[in-house]
Amino acid sequence: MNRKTPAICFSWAMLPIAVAVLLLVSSGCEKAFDLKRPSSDPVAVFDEVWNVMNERYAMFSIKAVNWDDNYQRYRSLVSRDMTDHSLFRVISDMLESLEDGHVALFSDRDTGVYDNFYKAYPANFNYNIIFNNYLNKEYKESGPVIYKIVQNVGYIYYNSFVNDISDEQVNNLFRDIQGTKGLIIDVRSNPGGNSFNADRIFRHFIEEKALVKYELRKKGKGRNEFYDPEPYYLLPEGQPYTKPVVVLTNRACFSTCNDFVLYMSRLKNVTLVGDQTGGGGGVPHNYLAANGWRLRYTATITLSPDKTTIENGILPNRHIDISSLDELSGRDPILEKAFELVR
Amino acid sequence: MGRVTGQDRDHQEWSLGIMALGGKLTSIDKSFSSLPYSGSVMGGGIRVAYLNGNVQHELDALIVAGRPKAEGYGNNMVEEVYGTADYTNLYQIAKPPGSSFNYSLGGAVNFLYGKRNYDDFINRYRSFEFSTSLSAAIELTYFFKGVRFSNRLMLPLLSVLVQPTFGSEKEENTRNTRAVAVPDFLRIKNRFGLSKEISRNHQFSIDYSWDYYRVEDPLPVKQASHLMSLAYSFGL
Repeated sequence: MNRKTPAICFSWAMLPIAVAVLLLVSSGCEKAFDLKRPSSDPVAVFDEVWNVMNERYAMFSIKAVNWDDNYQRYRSLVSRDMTDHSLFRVISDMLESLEDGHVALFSDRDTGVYDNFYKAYPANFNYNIIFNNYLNKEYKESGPVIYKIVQNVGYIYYNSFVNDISDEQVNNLFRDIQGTKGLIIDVRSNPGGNSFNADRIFRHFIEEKALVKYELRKKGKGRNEFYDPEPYYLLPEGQPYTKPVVVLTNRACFSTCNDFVLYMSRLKNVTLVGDQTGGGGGVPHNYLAANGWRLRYTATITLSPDKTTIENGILPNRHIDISSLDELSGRDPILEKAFELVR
Repeated sequence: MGRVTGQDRDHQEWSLGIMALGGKLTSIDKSFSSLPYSGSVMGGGIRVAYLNGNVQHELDALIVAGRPKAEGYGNNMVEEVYGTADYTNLYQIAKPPGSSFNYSLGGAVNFLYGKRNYDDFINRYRSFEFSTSLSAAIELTYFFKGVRFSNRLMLPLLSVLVQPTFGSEKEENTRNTRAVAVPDFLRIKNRFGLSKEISRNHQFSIDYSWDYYRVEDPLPVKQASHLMSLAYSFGL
């Protein structure tokens, strides 16, 4: 006899139950794995930024700042009902206490960054004076670099390593200046940028593989948890320029510019003239906070080949400042000293 | 009745299938942000299965990609790739008398690859995780009017996990490789499917799968994927 058995009815009823259990487990997993948006109230954002810095910022051993004290001092200024603008100011002030030009906070409307590493000092650079009175409004270009040969001395100005230069452009530049009796490389007010651009220029000054720096990278969340320093080498490119070179620097030469000056300062035919560089001896990374603000922080420590920090800048061989009178007179004594040295 | 019944102990069959997939992926990589990045992903996959009586072997691999956005801050995006490959071996252990349910138990070897490239992050913008896991697997199947309903749950128990090092800017730096178990690496993968034979040796199926995983310190990552797939398979 063929009849519908209870087992079949029972099985058919199992299907929607199974689907319901499946969906419940799925949504339960979603909660268990906690993939929801975190709180973006001022206290949560402050704590988040402080914690990210605490775990990832590399420079605590170099900066004279007690980060735990900073938490107590600035956290007391934060309340859940404060405005975004007020919170931004509190967090920016906390970050600026590190006096690190690589550390910054960005919102849609505001930028908080420490810039006293150059603003507190003479500018020591006026491009209009150079363009009008020394280049006579004429120059050549090779990519982002402008250059001119003046009385058989090459003058090169690289305004920012953010602007990329290709290998071909570098080769063309050095082909043009190869016959000069000396070279002036002006990297004043170069804020840094892509380190490969600095590498491309530097490689034309060395005759063999050169150790140019070490990089200390964080190994973990501890403030002093680092891997062993990683050496960074550069290989020569093309015919090396070995005649006298003067590199012009000022306080606004920062980050990759600071690295470039470090590389050049190690060469025997190079003299640094101007003011010490602005520092920035480390590589910045980003973090996106729960309220959409973007944090930039220094994630590594760059060391010279002698394993000393370059965070506070590189001293020139000849310190010269441009006075207000020099500027009014249309003079650049830093550039003039450079011409004197290579001649 | 569908061709895969598991009722004939002498039954042997190879099949090959291709899949098209689409769905939603949500990830939080705390090295970059506490915000979940969420969005649609699409991709494809293949499936090879061998049925020998009560024992089922299956190898399936899929890959999807998309550009999820930070929730609430959609101008922040990540290029994301997610891929898995699973070898599953299941043994039918029970078929209650008069029931159309089959219960199978077994194990699996699972490979997982998740990779993220964050837009507009300087110097350090890439992250990934790769895991190889030994898992427990359980499958429940139900046959009704020629349609095979199945649900397969996999739980990795022991894994080898590869991630970049803590502060690394290079994704190929794999110094951070370690053996992990629950709860340092927690993963749950489930696939619910319907399949029907459309002609002799040709089958069409629809699957809904979700895959959650969570990696703990030092590089905490969480990800959830919900994928629908359409698959066509044929007997070899």
